[in-house]
Amino acid sequence: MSDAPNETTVPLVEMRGIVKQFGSVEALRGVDFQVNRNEIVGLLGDNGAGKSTLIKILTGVYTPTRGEIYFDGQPVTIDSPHAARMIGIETVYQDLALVPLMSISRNFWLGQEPTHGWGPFRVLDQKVMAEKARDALLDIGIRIRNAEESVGSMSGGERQSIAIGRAVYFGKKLLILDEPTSALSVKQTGEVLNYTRRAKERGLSVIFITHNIAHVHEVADRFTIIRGGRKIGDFHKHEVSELEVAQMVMSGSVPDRLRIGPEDA
Amino acid sequence: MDNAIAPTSGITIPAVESPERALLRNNRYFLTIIILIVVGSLCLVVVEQIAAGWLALGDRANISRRDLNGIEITVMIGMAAWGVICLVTAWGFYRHPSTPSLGDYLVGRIGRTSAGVFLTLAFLFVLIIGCLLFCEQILTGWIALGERVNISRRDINATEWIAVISSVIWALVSLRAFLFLLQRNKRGWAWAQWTALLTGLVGFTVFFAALVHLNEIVPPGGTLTDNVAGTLELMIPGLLAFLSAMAVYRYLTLSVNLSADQSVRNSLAKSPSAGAIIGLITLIVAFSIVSPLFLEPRAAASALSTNITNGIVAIGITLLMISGEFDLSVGSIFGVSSLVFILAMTEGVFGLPPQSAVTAAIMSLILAAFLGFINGIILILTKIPSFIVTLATLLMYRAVIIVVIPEGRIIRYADYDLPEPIIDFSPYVLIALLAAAALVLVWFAWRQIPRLWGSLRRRIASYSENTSDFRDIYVITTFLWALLVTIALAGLLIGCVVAIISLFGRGGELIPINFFDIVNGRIESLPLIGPLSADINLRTGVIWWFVLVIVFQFILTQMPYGGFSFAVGGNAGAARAQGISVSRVKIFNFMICALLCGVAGLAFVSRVGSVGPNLGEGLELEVIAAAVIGGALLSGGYGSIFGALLGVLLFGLLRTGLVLAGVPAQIFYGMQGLIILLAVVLNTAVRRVRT
Repeated sequence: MSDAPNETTVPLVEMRGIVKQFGSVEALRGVDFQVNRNEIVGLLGDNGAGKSTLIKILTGVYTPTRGEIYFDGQPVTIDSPHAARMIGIETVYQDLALVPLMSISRNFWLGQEPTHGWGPFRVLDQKVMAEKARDALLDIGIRIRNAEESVGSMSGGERQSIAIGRAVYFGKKLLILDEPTSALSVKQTGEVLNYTRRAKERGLSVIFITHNIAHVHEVADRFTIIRGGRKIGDFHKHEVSELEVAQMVMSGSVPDRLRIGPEDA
Repeated sequence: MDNAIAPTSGITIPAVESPERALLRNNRYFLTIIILIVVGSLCLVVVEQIAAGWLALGDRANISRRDLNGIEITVMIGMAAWGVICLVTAWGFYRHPSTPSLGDYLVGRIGRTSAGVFLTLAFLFVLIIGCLLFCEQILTGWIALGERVNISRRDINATEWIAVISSVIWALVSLRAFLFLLQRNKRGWAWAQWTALLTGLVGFTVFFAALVHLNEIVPPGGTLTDNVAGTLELMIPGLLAFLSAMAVYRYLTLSVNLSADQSVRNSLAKSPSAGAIIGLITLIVAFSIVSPLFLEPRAAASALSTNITNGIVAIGITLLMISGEFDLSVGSIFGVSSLVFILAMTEGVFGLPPQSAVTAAIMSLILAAFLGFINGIILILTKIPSFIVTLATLLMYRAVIIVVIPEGRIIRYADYDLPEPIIDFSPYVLIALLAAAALVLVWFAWRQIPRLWGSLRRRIASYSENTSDFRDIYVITTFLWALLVTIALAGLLIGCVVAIISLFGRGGELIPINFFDIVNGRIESLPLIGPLSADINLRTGVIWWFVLVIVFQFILTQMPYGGFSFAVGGNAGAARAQGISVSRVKIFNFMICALLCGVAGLAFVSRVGSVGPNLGEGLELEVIAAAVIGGALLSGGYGSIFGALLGVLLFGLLRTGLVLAGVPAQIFYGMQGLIILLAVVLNTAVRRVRT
């Protein structure tokens, strides 16, 4: 697996000149954002910088006031979360990922259960559900004891991991992780980062949203930093240090040596 | 308790406490020792009473004579031996607090005469003999059980047969445990644990029953002390069995990973309705002890038939609660749809002339579903909590009833001089229905019966490799289950065929069937059991109720829609993120709930034939309580339809039981409240075990 993004092909997602106004408030003031194939992008910014607005536009929660979105090179209109799912974008929200009182296997298949029977008389294929869920999770390295166990008994890291495993299994192209590690312990954060890497190995692109550079520096190929509704810049991992990124997130000023910087594309 | 003392080391022994007391206090067998001393003393008292002639057993025409018969001598010897063993073991535990557990015996480290091992073996042996003696005494007629007017007659009633069969089974189980232990087989540990635990439970029940009936043996004008032998005779069997079993059980569960009671608790924790299951068992045992009428078919039929409406509505409310919402208006919807059903047949509604019963039923169901739709759509559009929305609609729908039938008028079907709603069925329609049912049965049998017997064959084939402690039990239960299913399917199939043949025998003659009887008529006879006597009021509505429970439990656990309901109630955001339409599921569940209220309305009108203005008032609280007892969480995402059935039965049996026990019915509400509280506390406690 090569860590360098494949520059020759069309980017998986390209958002151009995105503007979003809420009444008189301009949350995004013309942001360009792109994700290449097989790449982990860390989307960084302080609270209120506009990163969640940008992602909510990509996942169909908001529609942009101006700007275009291209997915796989094609211009697309994402007007609902359902539309985002249909083109292969999966979002893992921190506490909205799984239903705690349901079993792992039921959670894994929720909304697309394998059934036998026809019409309204479809019956769940529980055996297949449990087996495939276990195998799919094992495939990205998540070992579960019993697929019938309820998710409520699992740790936060395990829950995120299962959601990631689910996105990988269902052949999504883009995985968006919204602050996945902010409530996790160091060990669990490590696990989630590990599975994120596995997801990339399986051919997915990942947007990793966080305000904490320490969580993402290890796995991300590239960082996009947003502040005050504008993009500060895109930086490849080898170009910047962790400290520099942290300073940019806080101050919003780009260090001189990066000024000319690699404006991708 | 002063834990600083290290009794065995003998270094720090405070002057205030003698070494012996410290030894006892810190002994892990402390409680066991106390129990054993009590048991031992009780045994010796019984021996004394028999020897003195105060306690007469078996064939004894004349209590005043002095000779002892065979059974008395046997019981005396057994009791004396068991009492001495208990006391000696207690002494052994006291002197040697580090007495090794049964595990040491099984690996051959200690012999059979070690205090606890010998106690266990003796317990099992006494149990075997005791069970066999009990059988013998029933069969010879000296112990009478159940309803028995005349003790001197020789026939054996059903209760006695059940007692005989179960005590023979119990003797066999004890024998198995005994032999396992003799052979130092590891399985014996688990077997002995279960034997002791269940014996203890049975003993406690018997003791409790004796306690309830204690006042019956007080001599007129005297106190219990005037009848020591009688008191002993009544109290001792249960008490001794309970205490002995508990002492042995305590010894057996020392240093085991998973004791028998823990595994019961764990498997209960997997069920949402642990509280309802425990409550129901307790209630049935308690009431059947208090009133012998409680176990009669009459009481069961009445408890079922009077709760059909509650039961059907509780299904809907549980489904709705699982998806995170709540419907207070079920009582009003039930009332409105009952009203529309009866009015559509008698006076006509919506400007239409009176309709046939079937049309009226369809109209009332559509209306009910529409009322549910209104609830749901208001909830979705306004995002007001369902508690408020349905509180409002509760009043609004009730207003409809009061406007239509003002001043407490009651609409009675009988007042309208209408004929019974007879539907003439062509026999061929019935034949087609029966044939379809037979086909379904054949299909089911085709799939299930080979599977069942195959799994039995596999169990037998892999018997020697099976490492489970209870492999014999599994084989037996698999066999019994396969046999039961096969017989039931064959019986139903034969019933269908016989009915089809007899229908063909009638030629083309139409068969009149009363619509009310289909929905909720009296069941005249049952297959295999025959005609029911006139005082057993079992209704066809019970069948529909149970069918609906099975259907909805199936939908909930085996079909995608059930999963959506759980997800919507458990975490609406996650459900939405997976592409489930939360609003649609909620509205649909409101409609199902209301539709079931409509079905309950049909059942009510078909049975009672009248509708009053306050029909269904208070229904909402009762069904919500039943759902909650059955394990449904008010916060959504958890629950079971089967649990709701148990919850409704719990209340039904409570009502029937209180009446039969002669308790004033006024305390019903208080008891109901108490049960809700206890069941929910139990459900929560049990769920905590799991996580």
